Amino acid sequence: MTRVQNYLSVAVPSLNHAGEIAARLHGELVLYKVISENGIAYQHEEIARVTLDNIQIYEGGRNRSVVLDGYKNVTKTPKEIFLKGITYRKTSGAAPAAARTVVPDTYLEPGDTVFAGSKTFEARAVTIAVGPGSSQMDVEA
Amino acid sequence: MGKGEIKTNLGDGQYSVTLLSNRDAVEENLARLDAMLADVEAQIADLPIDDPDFEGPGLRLLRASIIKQKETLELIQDDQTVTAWCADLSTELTGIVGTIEINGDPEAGINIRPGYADDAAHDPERDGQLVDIRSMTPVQAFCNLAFLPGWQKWMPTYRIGEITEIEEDTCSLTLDVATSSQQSLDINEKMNLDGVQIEYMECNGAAFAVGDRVIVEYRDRGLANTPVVIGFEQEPQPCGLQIKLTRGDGTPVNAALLTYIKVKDSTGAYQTITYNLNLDTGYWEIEPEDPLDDPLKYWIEYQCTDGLYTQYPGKYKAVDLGSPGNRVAIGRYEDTIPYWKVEAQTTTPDADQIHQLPAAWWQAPSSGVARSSDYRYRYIYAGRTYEKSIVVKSSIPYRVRYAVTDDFQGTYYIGFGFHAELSPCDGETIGIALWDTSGKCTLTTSSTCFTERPSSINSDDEFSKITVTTSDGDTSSPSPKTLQAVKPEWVNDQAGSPTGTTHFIQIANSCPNGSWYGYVEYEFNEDCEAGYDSVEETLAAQPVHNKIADAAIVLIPFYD
Repeated sequence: MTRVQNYLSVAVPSLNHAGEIAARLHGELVLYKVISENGIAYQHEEIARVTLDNIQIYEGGRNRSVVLDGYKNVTKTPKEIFLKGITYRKTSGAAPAAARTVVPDTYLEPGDTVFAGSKTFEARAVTIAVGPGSSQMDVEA
Repeated sequence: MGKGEIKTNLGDGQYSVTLLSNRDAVEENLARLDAMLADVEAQIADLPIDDPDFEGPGLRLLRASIIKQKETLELIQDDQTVTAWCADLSTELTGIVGTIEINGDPEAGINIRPGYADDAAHDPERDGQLVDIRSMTPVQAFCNLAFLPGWQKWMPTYRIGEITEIEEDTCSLTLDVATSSQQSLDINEKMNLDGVQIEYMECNGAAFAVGDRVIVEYRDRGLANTPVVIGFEQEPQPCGLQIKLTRGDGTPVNAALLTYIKVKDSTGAYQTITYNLNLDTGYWEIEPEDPLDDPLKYWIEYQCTDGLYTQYPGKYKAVDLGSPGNRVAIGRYEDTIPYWKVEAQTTTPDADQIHQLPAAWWQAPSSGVARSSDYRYRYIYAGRTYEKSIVVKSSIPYRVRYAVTDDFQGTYYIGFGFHAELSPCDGETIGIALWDTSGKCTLTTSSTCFTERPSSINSDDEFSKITVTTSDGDTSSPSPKTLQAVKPEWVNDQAGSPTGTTHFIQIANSCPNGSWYGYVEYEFNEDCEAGYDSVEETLAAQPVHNKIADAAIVLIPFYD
């Protein structure tokens, strides 16, 4: 069992949910993974939970957005994850090891041991970007 | 690189100090947020009930954002109070002082700047002030963290090192391994430094020795990065010899108690010194006529009333005196002078004086013999019971020899009967030692001499052999000159004794030629609750055989 500090930041691209956010001043930010097809959810799992620590409002010329972020100390048992679909891997040099995949592993968490080909390291930062037509996951030691 | 406020003087250059962080930004931000919150709440209160422009959710979100920002700032803790050593022996610092963050990181260690020249006064330009990262803007926070390892390495502030060589006011040293809190990067440009200048109070290098852990300050930062030793990591030393003396009974050795302090160099030559007691610190400050610059260091010796001649550190036995390991460099030391006092000697009833005992007897202990009587002893007469009592006050282990002598034409030997009343503790030792004045038996081979005497010579069989007889009837016969550990069953075995620990020993001499003398030796060990650490001990001895004549009772307390 290891104790890790989770950080989660969520950008909400409008003020459409302003009322709901303001009503949950001391709530939590919970991130779910939902896999759905034609509006039917096949998988619905919580993958991160933090306390709501900051609410930042950004206003541009035409758009406004809200960034929510927070931290939480959690105790977890590290897992071992084999990365799939690796497109980039940093294997030498002074900087920490890193890998990029086109197949995000939503079960990967900071503190887990990552097997990226012949390279093994402890994941300290996991960044997942998902769009309608592409996805990418960066893992750094 | 910080600012602190002295809260408590813990003595010897150690202080309790509150680290004063710069909270200006926190206070300014809180004031700004309070004003914003009041404005937003006023706007919310002024909203029309139907909120035609749908401004309510946005304003409430803004209010929530402000509250969250305030909560973040309010989480910043009050300034911490820590225990910190001053780099030099400045013992009277007060008020605001400059602090030293080792490696430029308060988590790596805090010291107070040397106070000898300027009372460690805080210099904003030199010392700066710590700022909590949560009061910074994100840009400020990022820049500080990103630059930190480089700033620590190429504009170093303070390091801890250990002196490896020293010559007058310069030294060589090895720095402690130093890593940054960010990315664990090595922040020492060099580990081994040579020719480092020492600047310390009025004596510079004289206060330091090889192996000392010191604070290194870098001057001309970012350019030459010149290292200078400015003090000690802990327990700063004085410029000279200082010593705090306590007698073994816990009494501080002041001017009324002190007999002398002497200092001699490695050749054995005594130095000309004066010494004065600093009443504020309790240390004797030794002022030499000539500088104490012997590289092989010095012995310090002292004595006080009812205390033994002692050589630092706490050495009083002859075998321990004069060891090179006892020599010390100038610095601040503490020591205990063993307490040793024998008093309240009484003999009941008083008796006539007799001749001096054999010198080999009372001189046998190599040092520190304190006798219950002077060289002349008393007659005791047949048919009487005598008792001699002394009070031994000691903070060191000691032994007492009990004896009854018989004076017969100038020959002294152990009496036909001897009775010592002792109060031993578990693990203490009682023994019998016997000498043969005619040389017929040696100390270790004389057991055959102590054979049972035929009853025809002495009709009283009770004393017809060398015997230790305990009150529980144990009559084991130890070999001569062998100390016997007190058996647990010997303790608390005396019915009717007020303390329950009284122990009786009876001895009789069986040597046929009658030219023997001897004693019972009782060893007071360190752990004996009754016989150590300045506890008063009254000892008594009684000749009990009704045929003894012209004998003396002797008690000889001594330490090894």
